[in-house]
Amino acid sequence: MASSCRRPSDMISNLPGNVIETILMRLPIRDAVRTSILSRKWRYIWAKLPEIVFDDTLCQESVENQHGAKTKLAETIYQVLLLHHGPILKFTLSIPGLESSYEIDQLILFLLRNGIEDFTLQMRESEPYKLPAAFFSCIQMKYLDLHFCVFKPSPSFKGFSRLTSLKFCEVNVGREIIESLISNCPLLEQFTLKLTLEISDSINYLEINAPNLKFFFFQGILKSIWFKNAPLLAEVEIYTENPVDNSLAVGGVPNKLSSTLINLKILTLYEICFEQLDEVSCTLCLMRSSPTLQKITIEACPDICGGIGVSEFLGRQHHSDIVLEKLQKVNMQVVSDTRAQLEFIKLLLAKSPVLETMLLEPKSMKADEGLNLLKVITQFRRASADAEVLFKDW
Amino acid sequence: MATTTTETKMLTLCTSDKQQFQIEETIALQAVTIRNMVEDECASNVIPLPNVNSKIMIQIIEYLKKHVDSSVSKEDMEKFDSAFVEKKLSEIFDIILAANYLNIKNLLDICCQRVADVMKNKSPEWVRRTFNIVNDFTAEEEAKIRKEHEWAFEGVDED
Repeated sequence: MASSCRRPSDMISNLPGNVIETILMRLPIRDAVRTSILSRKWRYIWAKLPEIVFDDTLCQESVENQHGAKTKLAETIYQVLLLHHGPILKFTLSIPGLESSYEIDQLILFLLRNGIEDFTLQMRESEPYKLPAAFFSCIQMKYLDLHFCVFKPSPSFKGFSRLTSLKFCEVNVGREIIESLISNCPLLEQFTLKLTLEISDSINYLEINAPNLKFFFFQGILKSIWFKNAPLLAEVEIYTENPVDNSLAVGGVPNKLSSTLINLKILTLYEICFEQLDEVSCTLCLMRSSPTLQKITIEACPDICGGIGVSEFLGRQHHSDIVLEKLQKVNMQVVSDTRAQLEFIKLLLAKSPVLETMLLEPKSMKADEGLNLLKVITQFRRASADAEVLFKDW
Repeated sequence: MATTTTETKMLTLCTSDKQQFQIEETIALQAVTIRNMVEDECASNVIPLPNVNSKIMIQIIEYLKKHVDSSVSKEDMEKFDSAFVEKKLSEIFDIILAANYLNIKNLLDICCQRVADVMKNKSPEWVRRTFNIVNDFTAEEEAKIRKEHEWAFEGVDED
């Protein structure tokens, strides 16, 4: 063919600008910067990207405990930001062992002047990093993901009015600040809160007042969470880590929440200890307050901690106030044949008229124990004629 | 009269090489450009797509048909996507241009990711050869840029 001696065309350089930008934003920053040498056309494309991620891909070697490598890394970050021009809407700094809160302060001030909307800070130092006061003046923030920081705004802080997603992982923060923050972010849709045991310990209860909240994840020691005002909440995940001296729910668990979670569709609870009366009654309280639940996932705590009275509590009452009219799927993990768990399964089967599947993952893989479990459960009355009870991997 | 069948609404797409494709409206409306044309009622029965040829259109319809199916699990959809982008680069660029014009964000994203994966950790010389990029820098200019971003050139793959 005659065309074979013609030089093949350069398709990538002739792509529309927005497409080249999309390609470069899918590359690590190191690779994006390296495109500046391809040709004149490529020289400054990377420098206008609105998203910058500094993560592990930046360091060729571990920077932990290596002063030289740390200095070099900081220099690289400065150089990239110096050469960058135009807004930086999204910024991620996720490098374990990066040091000096002074340098990070400077970086945050720079980002604040360049229109930052989406900010992730993930470091692991000996001391948690204290966010500078100026950080709290960033009214355009939409997405915030903080790890291992100290979050202490001044009393005049009025929240982030455009924030839609908030993640706090091991952040040093007080109860009043969390409560006022989420109630002062009117657009907040997603909230993830992972507390260290130390911080968790200092928070006895948490009040959730977030009119726009749709997703809530909590990890820590659950003492009491009050969904005071969360009408749009559609998905809740709770991961409780119980301390040895369990002093859960001081003053008793309410029978029903003061406000109904009318939109809650998906409820996931981890490490539920079926031998603890207050944990089981908390679970029932959430179910009672969520009339539109469609899916429940419960991972039972595998250690039997030897409480009493739960099976009596579950079996004794008819629980006529629990109706799971919309529940279609139940997923229970680490199921054992304790009376409390069996009573709970019985309750779910009896109260869910449209249940489609109940998937059980037995704790023991031994055939005879599984068979026993199956024998008991098949005898339970099912409100839904179509309900299938399945055993996973057995 | 006895039976009422819900009629599936169809759209006709006409490509640059004057081929006509009849597809269900729900499938076609995933392309924002087509949706806008239908909503603004500026499209008659036949929607002209002068920037897309029939060869590419067939592949785009394959993608849209899969993605309209809500019964496909997330994992299966990911498998489909990664198999879908296993094509020659020149074809990927054609799909990118069509997806950009038709405004199908997911398709554009997975194709851009494919291109990025090809470039990742490769030397500039390798990237230039693979994509036929003409180096129009002088040797001095090139050396200067390399020095400026020395850190970015460390540890790239051998060609």
